[in-house]
Amino acid sequence: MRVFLVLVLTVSLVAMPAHALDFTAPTAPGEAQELLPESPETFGQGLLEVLRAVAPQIQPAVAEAAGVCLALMAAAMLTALVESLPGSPKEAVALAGAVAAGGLLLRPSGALIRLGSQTVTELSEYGKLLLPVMTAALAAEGGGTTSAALYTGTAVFDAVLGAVVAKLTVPMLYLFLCLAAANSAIGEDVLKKLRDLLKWMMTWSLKLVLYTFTGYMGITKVISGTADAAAVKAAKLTISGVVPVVGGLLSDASETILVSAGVMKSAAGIYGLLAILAICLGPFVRIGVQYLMLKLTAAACAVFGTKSFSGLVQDFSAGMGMLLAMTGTMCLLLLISTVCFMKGVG
Amino acid sequence: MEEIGQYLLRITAAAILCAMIRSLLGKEGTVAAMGKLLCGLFLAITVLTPWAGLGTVTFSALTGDVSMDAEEAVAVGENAAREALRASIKEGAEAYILDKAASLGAELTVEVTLTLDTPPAPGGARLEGKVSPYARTQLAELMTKELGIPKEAQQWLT
Repeated sequence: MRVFLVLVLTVSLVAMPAHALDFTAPTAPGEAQELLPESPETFGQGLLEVLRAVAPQIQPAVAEAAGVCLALMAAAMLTALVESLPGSPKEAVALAGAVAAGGLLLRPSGALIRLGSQTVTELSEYGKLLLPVMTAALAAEGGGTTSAALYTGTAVFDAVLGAVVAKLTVPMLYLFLCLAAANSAIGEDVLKKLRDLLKWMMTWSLKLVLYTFTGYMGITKVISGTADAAAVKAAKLTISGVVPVVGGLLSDASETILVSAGVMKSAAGIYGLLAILAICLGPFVRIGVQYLMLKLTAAACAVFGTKSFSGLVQDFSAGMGMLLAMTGTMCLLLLISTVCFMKGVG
Repeated sequence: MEEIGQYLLRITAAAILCAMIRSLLGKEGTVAAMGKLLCGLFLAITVLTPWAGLGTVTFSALTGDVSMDAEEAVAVGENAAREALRASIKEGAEAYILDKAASLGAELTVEVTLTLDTPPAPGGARLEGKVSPYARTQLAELMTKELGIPKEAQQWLT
């Protein structure tokens, strides 16, 4: 009889507690929401759905970039043609070529820089909504120390990176493109060192934030993860000791709650990961296509155009590369943070 | 875009002006060297002026009350887990008593109260319904021995 009763209690305890815990990831903003699948069963399936939804954006991005690149090649040919004429003033041709290339590139590049900057802001805002949900879910799973440390680290690095991008990288990117255009217009490499310094500063500021963040996450997981695992084990032992006979079963109930919190956390994490990817993939495609097309154009211009002209196109392509790095860094920061939350206790 | 255009124009104009001055002063001699230095200085000031506005933000303004926010988020999760555990133990203990009561032929409704300790444990029970003296004794014994509910905390309503 006792065995039967214990069995009944076990079934009732295991079947019950999940309803009390509810951790849902925040809805992705605007266009990103349209890219997300309704209810992804696994991360892989969800990722495939997001990629399928993003794929149609590639062709319009290529068409848009191709228009600018064709105009650039025409300008490069014209510049080379004028320069080849006997008695043509080389400095004036270089200046005209730089003005033409700058005029053609500044507007689309400016639009893409604004897009990149807006994407970083959107990612940061979404991260601020997702972070408390993942923290609460991990704390419910018994990872109070880990989740507090992960929250603090992610929030601080998110704020620092957001400030680096808004106050440093984006203005520097504009300055970099301006210096590249001016350097090309002058014809001599007077501003080359300054331009290279800006590029170096942008690259290293992003690398520094990401390296420090990944280091912090690694250390946090090792230190607080062990403490949380020990605390969870101790809590289970305490529960089984408090109630005389069925304490062990009540301790199993607490484990069921931890498992259900873990399941909720995984579901919220998977949705969060997909939402982060959906926010950044569209802009990433547009900027990436522009980057590749400008690389191709710079290579083509180097064949028949002037050195300063192809150099300027190359610099704009490098600028788009840095924009990709900027967006990618923020995306990676949030992905790493979410995965750390999902990994759980121990 | 307008600011960028103006900045670009300023650099280009400064560079052209410097090139003209240097070509007028020649390539050798003290005056040419002095001219080169001054032109370089002028160009550097033109290029670097917009940089002055970059990176003026304090760390504390960025991070705010991150630790407090973290503690709040952790408290939300831990409270939710605690409440779920309380509900689970309460319902489990009630189901256990009801099943035992049914096997003894008693028709009861039961409400178990939990202690405020961490972790919570069954601390009292309120039982209502038809129950024979034998079944009542058996159930009281079971609640004390197997659930840790003392007899004085068991309330019988008939």
